[in-house]
Amino acid sequence: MTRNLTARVASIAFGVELAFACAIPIAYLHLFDIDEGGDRAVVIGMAAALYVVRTAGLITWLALLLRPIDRWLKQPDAAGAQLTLGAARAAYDTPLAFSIVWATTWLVFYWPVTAILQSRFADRIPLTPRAGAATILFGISCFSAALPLAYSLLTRLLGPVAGRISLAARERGVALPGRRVSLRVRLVVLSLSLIAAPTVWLTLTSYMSQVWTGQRDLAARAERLADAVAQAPASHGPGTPLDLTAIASRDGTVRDNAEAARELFAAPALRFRLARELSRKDSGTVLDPSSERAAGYRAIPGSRDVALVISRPPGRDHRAEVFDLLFFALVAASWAPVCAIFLAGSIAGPLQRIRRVVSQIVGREDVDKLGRIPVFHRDEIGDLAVGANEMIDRLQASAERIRRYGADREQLLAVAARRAAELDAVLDNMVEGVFACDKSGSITHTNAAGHRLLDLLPAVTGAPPAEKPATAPLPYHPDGRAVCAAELPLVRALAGEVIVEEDEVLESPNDHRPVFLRSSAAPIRDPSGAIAGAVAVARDVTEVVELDRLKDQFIRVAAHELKTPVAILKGYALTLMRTDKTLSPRSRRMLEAIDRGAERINRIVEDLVDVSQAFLDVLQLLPETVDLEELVRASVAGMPHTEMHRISVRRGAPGPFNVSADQARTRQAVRILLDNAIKYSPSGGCIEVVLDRDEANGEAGVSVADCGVGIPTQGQEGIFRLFYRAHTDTPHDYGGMGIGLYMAKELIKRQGGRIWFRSREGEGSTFSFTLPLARESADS
Amino acid sequence: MTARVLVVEDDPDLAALEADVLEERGHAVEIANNGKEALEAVQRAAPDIILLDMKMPVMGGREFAEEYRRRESRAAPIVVVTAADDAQRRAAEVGASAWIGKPFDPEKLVEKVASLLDPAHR
Repeated sequence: MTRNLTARVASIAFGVELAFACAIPIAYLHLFDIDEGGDRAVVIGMAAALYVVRTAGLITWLALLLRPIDRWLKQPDAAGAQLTLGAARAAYDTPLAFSIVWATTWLVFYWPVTAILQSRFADRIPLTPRAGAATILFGISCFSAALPLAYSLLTRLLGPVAGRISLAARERGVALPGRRVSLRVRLVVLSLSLIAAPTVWLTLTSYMSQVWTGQRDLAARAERLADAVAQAPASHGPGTPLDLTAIASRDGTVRDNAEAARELFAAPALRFRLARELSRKDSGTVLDPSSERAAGYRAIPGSRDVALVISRPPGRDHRAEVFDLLFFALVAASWAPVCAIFLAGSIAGPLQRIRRVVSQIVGREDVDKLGRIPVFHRDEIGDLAVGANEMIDRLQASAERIRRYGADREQLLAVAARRAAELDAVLDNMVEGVFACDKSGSITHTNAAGHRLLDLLPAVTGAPPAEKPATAPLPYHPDGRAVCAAELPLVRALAGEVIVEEDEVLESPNDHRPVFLRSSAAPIRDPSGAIAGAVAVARDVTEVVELDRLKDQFIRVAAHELKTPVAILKGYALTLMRTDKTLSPRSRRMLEAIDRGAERINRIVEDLVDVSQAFLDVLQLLPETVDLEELVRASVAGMPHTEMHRISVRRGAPGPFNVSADQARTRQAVRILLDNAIKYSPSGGCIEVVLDRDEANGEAGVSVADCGVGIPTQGQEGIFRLFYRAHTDTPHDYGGMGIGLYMAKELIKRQGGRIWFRSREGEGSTFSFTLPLARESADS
Repeated sequence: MTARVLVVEDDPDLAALEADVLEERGHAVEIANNGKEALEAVQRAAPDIILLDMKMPVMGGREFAEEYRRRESRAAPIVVVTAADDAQRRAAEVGASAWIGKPFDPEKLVEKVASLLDPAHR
């Protein structure tokens, strides 16, 4: 684009106009039938002078209008919002405003020319109002022709720069200014102009040729012929079909041509005017526009008569018609295409840009490379471009979103892959075998330890039987019962069961040694809670079981070996005390101490054996109907009596208190509670044992309450744990291994009972347990 | 009523204790350190009652009891004296008439022996 837009627009616009501007005076001269060279020179001279003045004025105004654009073009990238706004307004508004003014100059251009002609050729152009009307019509014709041409031309020339400015405005966030001219209005105005320009022109030429040219020709012809007849009145004939010659008297009576007489009679206006003229002048012409007749007369020298010629117009003036048609065709053939080319350019250009972008979008080209469509004109196409731009904005925004989403997704996938790898690494480094299966029971994941277990013991995973090798050994329970397929951990987990640390035993296929497996399993649920699979964890605990077995063996052997020396100690001490009557009180106290010490060792040994059995889950319980009251009273009676402690037993509810329990083990539990009550009441006091019975829950209970030191709050939580001692390192640490309450809990729990306590430091403790009522007792 | 009691016990001190308390009540006590010695002892002189430890070197209480019953048509009652926690089951296994767990009150042992020797009981 040239830097000076005004020069370019002016040169092209007025260059195109010049060709048509040259044709207009020719049309004008023809229209007003100015055929003399001098007259023509005057008209062309006036038109040329006017054209120069008017064009100079228009160019100056155009330069003023386009100045903001020229300023903007000097620094399009650095232009501020205000300058961009001004340039956009100039680019969008100039075509319409300037075209109207431009066309209007053509509307009024020939008014002064006609006015001057009127004064100069008054005798030849006598019909002043008609000349005025013709000039106005001529102006309208020129206006109609100029308006579409000027507007199409300017929009075409300013469109590209308007487009550029629109993109710049878009970048600066400036809303597009300028008056919106609808494409529909433009097309309607164009088509009206296309209709108006030739129609007005044709109407005008036709009218003028009739009014002016035809009648003046007639008058001249009649006058010329009358001269000829006057020269030789005796030899004149009847004339031609168009011109009737005759000799007439001064009163207007035709003497020798009947047709001429009839013609005059048929045109009374002509007859009256001729008669008036004959009475005044010797020669002259009379025109009658209404009958389209002219009469010329000339006095015959030496006679009172006159030579008379009545001229009639020919059917049409073919030469003038051909000229009109040719001129019209020439103008139409050049003007209409010029208008069409510029209009089409201003419409098709933006549409093609939009189509290119749309095909880029359809062709799925890179959305980021899509350019914005310039808004060439503020019309429907401009709106379309704005809409397409917004669409591109949204596409790019959505592409950006998709890209971000894709990037996020990649990142998430990478994180997920890393987590999966970490999880795999963790799982593979686990000692436990982990197996996961889907809803159908097919194994979906097995870790390294799991594979090792599978190689060794394929049956343990609970895979469907079809997947198990035929030689796979079936697991069995630690007590020797075979594990059926429905009991396998994964199979049960798939049914919804949660399995915690269950032991199974398998025979190793290599050395046929038992392999102990400790399995846990749980169902995997989807978000809706439905079972989607199951996971099982299995650990080879053979070594642990073996260690437990060794420990138990050790405890048993140690207990056995300890019991013999204890038996000797206790036996001799008791024998001495019983048989030696000479014993001093001091020696007797010593022997009693030996007996108590031996008894304590024995109790510790028995506790250790019990704990070992409880731990190995091989505690033997023989439930029978036991009278809890009798058992409690016997236990209380069997307690070593001290002077400080008084143990009372009372019923908290009416009996009987028959429970289903192992007598010895229940007595052991009661004894543990009584021992503790005495042990932790160092300053003595009442120990109350209450028997209770709860028919509704089908259980009977015993509670042992002391007024001793109580259990500190922070020590209460783990009171039933093995080897736990609440009073360790306190003034109330009275020794012990932390076994008693654990055993009591195990013994009661294994018999279907409950055990609990209530204690406050410094105020004493109450330990309670329940056991299920014996059936006949419950029934009664 | 006095009787001949065979104490089969590998621990000499415990054997001595059992012997002491029984002799004090007038029983004649012979001690065997294991099952094998006990078999020899019963061949020499048939006891009225046998106090039998289960876990002994050379020959244990169980083997002795089986062998003794195989040999003797009219076997003396056996009292199992054991430190095992399942003394009752073991006593039943060897067909013992009674059992007593270690440690024990010597008086209980005397009572048990007396009750087994009581003709009414037998």
